[in-house]
Amino acid sequence: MIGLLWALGGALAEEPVAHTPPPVAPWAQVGAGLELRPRAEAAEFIAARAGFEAQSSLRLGVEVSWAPSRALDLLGDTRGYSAVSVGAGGWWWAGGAWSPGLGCVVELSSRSFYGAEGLVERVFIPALGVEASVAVPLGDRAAIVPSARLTTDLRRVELRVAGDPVELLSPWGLQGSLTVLIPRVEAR
Amino acid sequence: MIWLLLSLWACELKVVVEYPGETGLDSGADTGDDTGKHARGHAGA
Repeated sequence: MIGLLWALGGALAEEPVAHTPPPVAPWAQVGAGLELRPRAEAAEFIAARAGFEAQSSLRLGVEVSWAPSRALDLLGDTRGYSAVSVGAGGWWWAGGAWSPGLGCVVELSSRSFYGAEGLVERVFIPALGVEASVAVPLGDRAAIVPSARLTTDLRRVELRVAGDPVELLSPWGLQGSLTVLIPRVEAR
Repeated sequence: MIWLLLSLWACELKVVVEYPGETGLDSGADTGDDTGKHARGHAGA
């Protein structure tokens, strides 16, 4: 009996095996780009992303971007829209110098449509995007990342003037951007 | 495939942005010929 209690006490006194999770590795990315959309003026945008490294090759995060007003071809120079987008996504990096990467983003875009008199309407458009990138090392800590992203709106926008439908805003957008990524993608 | 289906589905979810007035179009609508079709007010807008 005493032996049993001794063994039990010894078992309880043993230190538990440490299973501390690895520290969460944060990352951030900022930059600017150009968005092309059919029948709309090309628009510059700025973007920032941040998140954590879920695995050695997968980075999850959120992003925000802003694009100033762009004119729409069929509506004249005084009518256009600006956009603010927030999104979440994952970016997979192959690793190594000049690491290729693929990303997938779900975003919500707030588009403010302007006329000569000012704001006409603000609408919210969900969108999906897929992105291909290359992370080029820029020193020990950072990488410069040229990217191309194809986006598609999940809601169409019909533009009317005085009640007459003029056009449907194209749901397709192509973005090219140049961003700085910290930390850079490590070689594996 | 999923992408295509989502895009097609999105076509049904339409939101309308209504611009007031009708002047200032670059599409040739303002030809000077007033047929009455586009003459609904806002002549001075």
